[in-house]
Amino acid sequence: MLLFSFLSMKIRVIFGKNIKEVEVREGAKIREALKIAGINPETVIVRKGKEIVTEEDRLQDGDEIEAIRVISGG
Amino acid sequence: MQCSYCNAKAVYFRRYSGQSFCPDHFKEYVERKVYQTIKKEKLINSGEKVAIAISGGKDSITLAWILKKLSDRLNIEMESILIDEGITSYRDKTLKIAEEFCSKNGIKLHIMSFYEEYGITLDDMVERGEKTPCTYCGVFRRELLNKKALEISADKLATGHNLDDEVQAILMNFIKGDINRLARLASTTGTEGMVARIKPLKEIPEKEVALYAMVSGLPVSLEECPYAMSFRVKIRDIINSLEEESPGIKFSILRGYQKLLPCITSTAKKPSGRCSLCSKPSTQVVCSSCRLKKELKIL
Repeated sequence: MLLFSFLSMKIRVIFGKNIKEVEVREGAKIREALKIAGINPETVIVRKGKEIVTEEDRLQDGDEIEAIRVISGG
Repeated sequence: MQCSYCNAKAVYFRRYSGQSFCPDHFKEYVERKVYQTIKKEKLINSGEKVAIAISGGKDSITLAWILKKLSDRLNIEMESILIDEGITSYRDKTLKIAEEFCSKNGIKLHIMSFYEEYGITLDDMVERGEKTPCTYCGVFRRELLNKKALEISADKLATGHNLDDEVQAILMNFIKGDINRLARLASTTGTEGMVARIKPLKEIPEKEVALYAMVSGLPVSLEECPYAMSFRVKIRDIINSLEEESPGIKFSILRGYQKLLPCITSTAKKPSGRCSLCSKPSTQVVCSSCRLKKELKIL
């Protein structure tokens, strides 16, 4: 548990008006952070800074990502 | 992550095929896929006039943009039709986007509204009637789109339905046991008084349509319709969870449906008669539009 905490990274996930801070393992992909934040990667496009990134890109401690919902309802 | 086709940075990883794309290669792939769908299914023939049902949302703007790019290659003429249903604080925003887009890209835009045609907005229909908003919207939008498409002598009426829309409709109709509608989903042939409807984006997942619009800098609205249907939303969420677990499942559902189609089309009803009230083609004595108009007391 101590080792896990040592290796974890803090990531800020912006989703609409909500901002969540999630903890992921070191070297985790964006996909994992989205899932921990309760967001299905299939329903969003992710921006890091001004750039669109893939869910397979790896994160670094302190990263901030924005998940843009692109799935309509009707 | 790097693009599978060049050294540029990827903006999309397509899990169901294992390929990654930079913006340029992604746009090229989507446009090629739409062209292939049109050719493979013979959706549009050379020299035809295509009416595009436009709303200002990502799907219809993307469809209009891609068809405009392909118009010389396909040798088609195109115009667009927008239906203003009368949804407060929603349609007025997307209408503005559609008007500006069409004006900038030299696409003739025809606007029709529920209020002008039926004397009542969708908001008021929902207040007055007992059906779901999507029932009124779906039936009346289809009626007006077809009316205008006939007026401008369009050969085809193209809608922005994407793979997600198609797969949701397949499962919804299957779950409800509505085999007639299930069979009609794939129909691309018109009948007398009905312009043939086509869906050139039906093999493009919704996420890819949205990404295409974003990387192309298209002025789209990602806002959700306030009347988004709860049953469809449930089905949508189930499908997206399945897709996340098993990439490619949306295509599997579509392919399965296409294999099943020959078995169910023979049992489906086709509009063989005419509505006893409005004389338009109908599978029933009174068509759904007239039934809804009677319920709303506008007929």
